[in-house]
Amino acid sequence: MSARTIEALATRLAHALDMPGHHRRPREANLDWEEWLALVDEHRVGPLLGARRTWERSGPVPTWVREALISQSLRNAHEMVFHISELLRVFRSRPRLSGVVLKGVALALTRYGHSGERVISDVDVLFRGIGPLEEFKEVLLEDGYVASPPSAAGATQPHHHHPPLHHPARGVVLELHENLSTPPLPRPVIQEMIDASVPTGLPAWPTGLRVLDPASQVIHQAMHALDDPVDSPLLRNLLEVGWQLHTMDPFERERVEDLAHRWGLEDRVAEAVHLAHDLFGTPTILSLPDFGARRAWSMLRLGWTGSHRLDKPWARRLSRHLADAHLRRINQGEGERDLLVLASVLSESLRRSASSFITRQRKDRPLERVPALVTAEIGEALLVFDRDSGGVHLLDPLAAEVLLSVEAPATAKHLTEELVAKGREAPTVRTCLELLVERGLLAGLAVGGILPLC
Amino acid sequence: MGRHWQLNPSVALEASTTDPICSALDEVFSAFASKEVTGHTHRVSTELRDDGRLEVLLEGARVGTVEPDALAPFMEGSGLGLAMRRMEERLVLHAAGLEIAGVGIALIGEKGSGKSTLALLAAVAGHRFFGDELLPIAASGDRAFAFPKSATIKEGVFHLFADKAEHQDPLRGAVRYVLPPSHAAPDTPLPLRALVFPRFMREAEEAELMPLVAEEVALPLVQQTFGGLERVEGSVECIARLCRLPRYFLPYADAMSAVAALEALAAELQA
Repeated sequence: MSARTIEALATRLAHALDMPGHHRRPREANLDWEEWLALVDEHRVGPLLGARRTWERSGPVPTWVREALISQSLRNAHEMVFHISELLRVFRSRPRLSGVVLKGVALALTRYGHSGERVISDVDVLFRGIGPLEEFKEVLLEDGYVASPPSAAGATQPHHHHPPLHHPARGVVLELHENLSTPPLPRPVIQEMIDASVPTGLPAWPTGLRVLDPASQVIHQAMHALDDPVDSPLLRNLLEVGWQLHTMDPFERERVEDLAHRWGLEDRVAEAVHLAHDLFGTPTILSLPDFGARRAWSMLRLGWTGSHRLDKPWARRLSRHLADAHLRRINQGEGERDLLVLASVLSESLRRSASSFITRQRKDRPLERVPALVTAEIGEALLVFDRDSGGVHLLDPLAAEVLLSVEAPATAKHLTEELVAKGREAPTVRTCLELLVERGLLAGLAVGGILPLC
Repeated sequence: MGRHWQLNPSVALEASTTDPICSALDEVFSAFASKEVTGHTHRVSTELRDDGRLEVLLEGARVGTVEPDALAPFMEGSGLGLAMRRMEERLVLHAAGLEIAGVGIALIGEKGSGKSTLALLAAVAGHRFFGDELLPIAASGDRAFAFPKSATIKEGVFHLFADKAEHQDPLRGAVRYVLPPSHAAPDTPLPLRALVFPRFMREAEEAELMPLVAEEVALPLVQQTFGGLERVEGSVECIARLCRLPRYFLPYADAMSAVAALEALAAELQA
């Protein structure tokens, strides 16, 4: 993704929300619109652009791009209708419960023109402590929600929320929080945020369902925007930081500054605020700290490094490894400008790259069937559903036989010999095994010296 | 004065009769109109903006902005999502359902395959209409349930339903909604006897049912399953059971001859 595409999108977003950055002229000559649309998807701003057409005034847009965005906007609006319905139902079922709805849903309700403009992947709710959180969790479990298994990343990286709860049939994910940051913010800060929270302002809504006050919302969104540069849709979150500041009066902006100082978050908030300013021309508050790793990684994550381009796939992969490893360190409480941290980040990143390379090269590692497969016979074929990846496969009889023959971990060589003994041809069996590995139905086990590197 | 639409036993919509959203909901979901409601009820309404567009509100929260003639398609999409996601023990297929001479047939296909048109024309010919968009299926895979949303028809067959109002769906273009009088009540069970995959093909000489093997329909059924296989426990087994029903591909150029082919199939299965 080129820096120019990022800039072009940022300028269009500034137009969409009538922010100061819209005075810049978008440099879109020979723009790769497919790349632009991929960037829109990655940063989840399609529904906003599809719903607000003001950004089209700044220059022509291909019809197919416009139609794709309108489609995203409508589908998202239908999705949000269900999410709002579900949130109301849960809170109304226990009128005594109180929680502060955060991020996407809160902004969709209070900031955006309508909730269909904001994509949400989950509903985040903050509680005053473990007691109310557990009570809410109980309500959800009774209602058919289940705890999501920890992801591979989650297992190694500390999190400030409990394992998400999801409802498979309804397709809703709820994340319950006692804190808003990793490492955690001091308890009094969280209490102060909750004390300052406000009702949604929607008359028929449960009084227990609240949102952060505008100043806390900016601070939380600013922290969130840069805390997770590997996974978070950074551009949208930065846009929201800048947009909120842009629509605040000076008194409210001063309150954001005061709170950021008092809560010791001024550097984290300032980084996001200044990055939003560079992208969208929105107001700045707080002084910009010295250039540090967090900003470097954020810009790498965006692929927006001013004069540099990050077009090469290997460079993007490496930058993501670096960003991921670095954030891990910062989240463990280490300083972002500490040279030793940087050294360990680099070495960890190299180890991970080497590990994935070495693992790919090993052909004699034992194979095993991935655990989450559900199968059913369809005529002579086998329908296979991988619950973890969501993949669905229809295997021909031989591929089905090969898959089902992997009852315990075994090397490809051993499996081939076994099936050849049953009359199958070795090259066909090997092709089947390769296909099953490629489709993720058989996984290679890490062995021996490879394991510590993974 | 308010009106209610019970989209499934656990969720209903409520709107004032003076709000344009009421007539939009009646166009699409009139078969679900109910005086008594169960489960959770959401009030929906609209507000007219200065630019002539309508804000759509769910319990006072703005959820979308539409042109007035796009309100019914917007509520169709939102209502389908609300209904489908709360069908927690049923696989939901993107399909139409018909009962022809006592024989239950599911018409399965993606947008543009013509399943709505065929279901509607079959219903006009006197057969029972179980819906044109969502077809909830029991985990056992042997019966469906009626979800009789009004059939959505597109420009090609507008002349057959000239008295119906036209709406502009930003995704599908001009649409009209038609609820045939022969529709089943919501949730009426329909024992399934056959799966038909229709496809409108201008070059098709005559509508002819072509048998399919089970392996050919498994993935199309998965593709037409709302929310994927992870949504409901037992989905894979349910798909496998559906694959055991008689299965046909129905290419057609003339919709009436396709309806005749469905009638012949029903007669054969009944015999």
